[in-house]
Amino acid sequence: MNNRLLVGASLCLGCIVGPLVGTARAQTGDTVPVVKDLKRPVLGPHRFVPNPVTEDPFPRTFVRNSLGIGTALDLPFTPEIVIGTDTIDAITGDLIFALLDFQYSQRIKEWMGFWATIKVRGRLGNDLGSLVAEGVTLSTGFNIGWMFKFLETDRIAMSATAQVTKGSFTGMNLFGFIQGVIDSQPVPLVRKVPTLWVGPGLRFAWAANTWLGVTANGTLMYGEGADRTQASQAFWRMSAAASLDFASLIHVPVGLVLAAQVASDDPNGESSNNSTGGLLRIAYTGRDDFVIALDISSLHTTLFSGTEVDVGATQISMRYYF
Amino acid sequence: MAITFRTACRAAIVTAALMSAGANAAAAQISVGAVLGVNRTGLSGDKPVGTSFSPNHGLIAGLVLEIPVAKGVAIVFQPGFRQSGANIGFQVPDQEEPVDSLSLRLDYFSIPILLKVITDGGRWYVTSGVDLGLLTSATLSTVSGSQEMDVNDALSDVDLAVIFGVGRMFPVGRPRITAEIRYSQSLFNLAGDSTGQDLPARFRASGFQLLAGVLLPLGGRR
Repeated sequence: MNNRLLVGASLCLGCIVGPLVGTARAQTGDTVPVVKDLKRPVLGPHRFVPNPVTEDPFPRTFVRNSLGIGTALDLPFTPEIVIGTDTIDAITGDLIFALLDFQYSQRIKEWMGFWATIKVRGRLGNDLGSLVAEGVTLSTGFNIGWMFKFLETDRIAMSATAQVTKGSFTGMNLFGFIQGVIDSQPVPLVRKVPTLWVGPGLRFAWAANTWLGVTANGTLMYGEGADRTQASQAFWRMSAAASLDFASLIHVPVGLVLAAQVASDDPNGESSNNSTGGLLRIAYTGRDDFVIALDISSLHTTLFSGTEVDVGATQISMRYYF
Repeated sequence: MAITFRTACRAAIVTAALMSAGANAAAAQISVGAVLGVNRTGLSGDKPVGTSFSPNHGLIAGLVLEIPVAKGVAIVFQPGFRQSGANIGFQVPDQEEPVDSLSLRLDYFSIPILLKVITDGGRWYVTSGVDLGLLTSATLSTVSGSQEMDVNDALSDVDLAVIFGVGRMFPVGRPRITAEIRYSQSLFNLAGDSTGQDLPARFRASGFQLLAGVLLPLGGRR
């Protein structure tokens, strides 16, 4: 899936459709019912469909998990080489990604909560070429943070966050190892480095009407990544999402989320290059305390080796509110 | 649009209290006390090949000054003493796993500054904040204790850690007994100029702390 398409669609929904609908309702004097006493995040008339890319600013008690698989297809690891009349074929291949998230969030006060998240990302090639060229990587991360809701009106809510992410990046560098043997300069086959990030963030939510809501996140982090050639550095992440609740529109218990994110690094911690991504979520919203969703996401990022990839992924996600 | 700033005011009060704790102290019911506990820390960093870090135990002891700043919210100062460190294992012949060979012991004068939020029930609470540590002693020794080396100059003098904790209070008359577990993660690189000291170039401490304490409210009864 083209991630730029998702980015554009989300921005359109958030910045054009929402205000138009809101303006139209204001002009007609239409009053919208206020939904209250729900476990799922709700602001004014809108029940938000939660998503993992752009979290909402409401402290809630819940557990969520996501399990998925992603692929990056037909990657050119080495170009075609012509030597005289001989041609050495380009080495191409596919990469497979495994994704696992688990999060617990606890509301302490109506205006305050904390969360803890465990993330696991695995990557490996599915044939000899991609295995040799990109090796195998495993990144794990433990993220813990606080959220303080400091503003809530009948349409807008904002929270400030502070978080720490501690991770570990393990990479098996087959290509470098073989090259080292050829050059008689040993290169470690397996490299494991710890990572640590800390920083503040902002979360925003806007309830346009009963069926449309918009959320946005901004995060600034500082710390050490997997690339030890770089000193400690700062990076940022921004994301926005449109939440569409069809239950209030056509009485079908289905929610849709279109989300987009841009970051000054790779979200899996492999590199310090820019990345962009998008998410399409189709969720069952028939219950107040439970959401199950199918996520289709895309990510344009750079691997540790410097290879730029477009990753398409499919995930099954569940979230239960206490 | 009907704007309600109730939650905004609460958060603002908490933030402002950091600047005006002294002024509020006169009006609020301050609690004082002491805390004692165990610090189980490990190191994580760029380990040389064939080495490993394993957690070590140390002592935590300190005084407590708790200043309420809003209903169910307090700023807590806990100046005291904190021991941390880790065992460093090396690969040895005929052994599959690295064997603990060296022990690093770090002693800090520690000043945790925490935000304490008490749940609506009044018994459970969560804490979060920073722990500023000033290194007073650093010793690298063999596990057997036969040799010891002062590595104070090779390490950073200051450690800043973030703390996340959860605890419970048990009223026993006027005083309150507290039991708390915390996760602490150092943010600064603890290695100063460690080249040649058998220590890695980049490492941080992290671990769990188990604390028990007593708090005595000052002034009139609530």
